[in-house]
Amino acid sequence: MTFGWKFYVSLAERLLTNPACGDDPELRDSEVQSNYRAALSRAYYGVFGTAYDYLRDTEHDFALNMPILQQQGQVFTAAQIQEVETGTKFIHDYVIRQLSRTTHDQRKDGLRRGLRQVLSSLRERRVEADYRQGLHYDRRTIRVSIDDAKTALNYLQQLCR
Amino acid sequence: MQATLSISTSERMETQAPRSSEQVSNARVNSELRGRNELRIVDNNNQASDVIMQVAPLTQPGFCYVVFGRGTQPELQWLDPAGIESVIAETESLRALIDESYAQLCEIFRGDTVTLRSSVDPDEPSSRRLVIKVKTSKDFENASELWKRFNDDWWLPNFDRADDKLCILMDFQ
Repeated sequence: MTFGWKFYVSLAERLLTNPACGDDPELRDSEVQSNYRAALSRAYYGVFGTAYDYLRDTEHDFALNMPILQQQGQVFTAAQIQEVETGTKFIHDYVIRQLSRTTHDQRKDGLRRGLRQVLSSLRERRVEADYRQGLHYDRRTIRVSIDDAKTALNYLQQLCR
Repeated sequence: MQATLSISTSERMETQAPRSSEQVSNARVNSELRGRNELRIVDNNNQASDVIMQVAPLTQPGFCYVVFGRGTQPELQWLDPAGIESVIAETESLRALIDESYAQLCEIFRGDTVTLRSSVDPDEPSSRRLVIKVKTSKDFENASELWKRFNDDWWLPNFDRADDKLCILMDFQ
């Protein structure tokens, strides 16, 4: 069964709606902040995973399909494998780079541009949330990011039609 | 009365009239460029105003360009100049895009703080890029509307120029 990455965005929504349950004010704030950070991270991965699947399954991206084809018994040259491994080493960059390639379809290119813009913002939020100390998140920032993630999922839905 | 703006410098420079000149109205004014990075208004009594614009010289000698700033909008805050410069050094076209984006943000998010910093994803350290962040004091509905306007009218049409090296975010104060 294929995992639906988009449900991470639903999880982010729940983390925002019910961020804490403790009574201790200090613990409660920490719990709220950890849930907010987790929500930002999940919102990004919800969109990233869905975009990855779109490239692999709808756009038939060769590099992303190689592992599946290998499992099915297809054989590739060492040079092909090396090229794919190098190209997809930084997979987050790779997905954004592939989305920036023109499809020669104005409607699709517009949707892909919008998707990249949101993905880029969400990625930065995710890096901040996962790695940066000293940030105290405001609920409204999380709200905007989750709404952005939903917009991106909508772009992807349209791209898959 | 129609305002007049002129820029005098110790060096000969070609200049572009600041776009906000129409806002400096109701008085006959002259402007003065000081230290090649500030634009002030001087009234008929030779009283200089506070800095009204930041002026950035371009790389070509002999040229000067008013690139950002409106009214009393403060300068874009560079949080880590060395890191920022290292990204710009790789993609020089970012400099103009940053200036234009900042001008747009100043226009739309009047009075809010705007910062610039470099960022790297620790999971993929090859991807150093720049982040402009506007920190708004506006209420959620108003800020969301302004943010949508900024994205639809400016950032999305110009996004490809960034080559994925610039990200613009909005936070709340």
